[in-house]
Amino acid sequence: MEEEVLELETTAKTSGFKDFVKRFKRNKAAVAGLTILVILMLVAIFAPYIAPYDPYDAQMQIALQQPSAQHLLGCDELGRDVLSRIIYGARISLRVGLEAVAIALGIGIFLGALAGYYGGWIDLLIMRVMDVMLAFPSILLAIAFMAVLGRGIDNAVIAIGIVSIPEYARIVRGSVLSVKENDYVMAARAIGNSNNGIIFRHILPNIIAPIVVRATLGISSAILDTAALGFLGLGVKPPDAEWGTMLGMGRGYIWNATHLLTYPGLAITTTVLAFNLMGDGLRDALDPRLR
Amino acid sequence: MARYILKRLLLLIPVLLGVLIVVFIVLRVFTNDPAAMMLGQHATTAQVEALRHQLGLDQPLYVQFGNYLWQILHGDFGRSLMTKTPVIQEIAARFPATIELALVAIILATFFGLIMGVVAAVKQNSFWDYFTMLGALVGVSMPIFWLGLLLIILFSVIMGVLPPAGRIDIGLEPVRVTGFYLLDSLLTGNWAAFQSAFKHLILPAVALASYSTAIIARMTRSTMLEVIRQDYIRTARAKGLPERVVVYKHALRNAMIPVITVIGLQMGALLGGAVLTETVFSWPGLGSRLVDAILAADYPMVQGTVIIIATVFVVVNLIVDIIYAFLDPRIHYS
Repeated sequence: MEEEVLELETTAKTSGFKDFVKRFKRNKAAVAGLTILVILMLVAIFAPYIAPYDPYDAQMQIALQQPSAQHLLGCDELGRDVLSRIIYGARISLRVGLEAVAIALGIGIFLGALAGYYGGWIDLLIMRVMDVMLAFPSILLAIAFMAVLGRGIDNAVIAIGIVSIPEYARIVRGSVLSVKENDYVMAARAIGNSNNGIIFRHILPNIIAPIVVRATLGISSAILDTAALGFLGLGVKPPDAEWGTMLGMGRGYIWNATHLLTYPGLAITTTVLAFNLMGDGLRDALDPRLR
Repeated sequence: MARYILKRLLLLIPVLLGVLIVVFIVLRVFTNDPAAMMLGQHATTAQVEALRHQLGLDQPLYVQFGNYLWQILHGDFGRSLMTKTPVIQEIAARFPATIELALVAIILATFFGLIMGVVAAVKQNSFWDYFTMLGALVGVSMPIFWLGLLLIILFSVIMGVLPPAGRIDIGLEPVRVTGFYLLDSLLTGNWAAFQSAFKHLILPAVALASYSTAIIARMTRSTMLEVIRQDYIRTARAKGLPERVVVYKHALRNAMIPVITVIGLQMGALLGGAVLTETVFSWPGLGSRLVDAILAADYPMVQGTVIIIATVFVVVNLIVDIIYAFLDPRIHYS
């Protein structure tokens, strides 16, 4: 009898997953997004093997050179190969995007679950703090943090991660509130599960869909924020190759070297577009009702 | 309704207090010693100590917070370290530029976003639907500062038809009435100033509006699609109303409520976007001043600007909520 139940459970689970894969695959835009992302990840991982030149090798005699057969996307103001810097830049953008969302997700889930599950003054306290954070346009708060923390990749991760916490906390709190009165949660409580057990084993797995969707879209806004900080001169430290910083540095050459401004921006837009396409696809595949 | 508005106004107090606390913590507790920063590298320890004492930085944190709160409530944000002018004066001088830019951008975004969304929904799954939605997707994926740079390259560098930076040609500034150049030049009948201000405004406003246009278009499309499937739309069609009336009078009106929320939220988001757009176009508003202040470690200026932008953001969101309550009689607020 018990085996039968187990078997039924596994088939239900795999068929749910299969359905999801089927629905995702049918969405051509989402598959395109995923493909671009896989390519980008490979580019980031194998950057040293793909990049034609050393991204930090400055050669003043070829500074601001237009795109040519030797330097496909031209050279920057210090004579560094733009293509190589864009390839290395994929590492920073993806890393900051993923790590910042991981921080925001970890803390946001924790706070949102606490607020939604326990309610009362814990809820009030957490959500008021979140309200205050939402009282700032997120890029403004990130700028303020960077002003205090100083430039650098790790600081950008922290700044962007912190400012994204309220979004996740709100979603998780809302979802917890909506499932916490369900029968299976009552049942879990009735058979004596601890509060933590109920939250992590019974509630969170059931609200994972909106969180995954939000996180995927969140990576794209984290990448945009990273680029914005870099553009303002508050991102990574030079000579690190970061797309937004490249645009910020290239701005001074807008009249004579437009190639410094077109390609890094194209890289940012393509990456963000890919995450957005995949996020939309995940949303449709995970929750057909949202269509 | 009045009670709801009153309640929301009262709730504003803790949020604004929270904003002040966050700014205090971030800028005063975590930053390096402002006294040392103000005096520069060559100051002696005794000089730094004296200034710390003068600024009250040697007092306990809660006393400092009390003083800070007292000053801000009296509109005293200190003096800019860069220009030595009172921060509040600089903010007042630059604020209209930011608001003018944001207002024009939200008007553009609302106009084009609504058209795109309605067309996409009415012609669902057609070429126009795919075209506008692809455009909207690119719009949300493109950094606005990059779009700004591309617009400068196209319209200023290549075609030479629009100015790449600034708010108006030097010497043409209209007499100040409201601080909004477009309005002031019209009010004073200064046609040359109006033309110049208008030309300077086009590129930054388009760049700033792009993201919001995309968001509004997507939201309009999805709510329109929902509304179009409702029975009352079928009834309207069945009784022989022209399609135009069905779409604009019956469908769009009912689809507007969530769209208005999004427009309001975008108004807030534009204030954040203004920081980037103003930097790209050297627009003399609060956003570009904030970036300069941060790079120069001008901390009273950073503090004042951040507080003002956050306050406007909160107030705008409140106004949106109240409009929302007026528009949808089904919503009960207690």
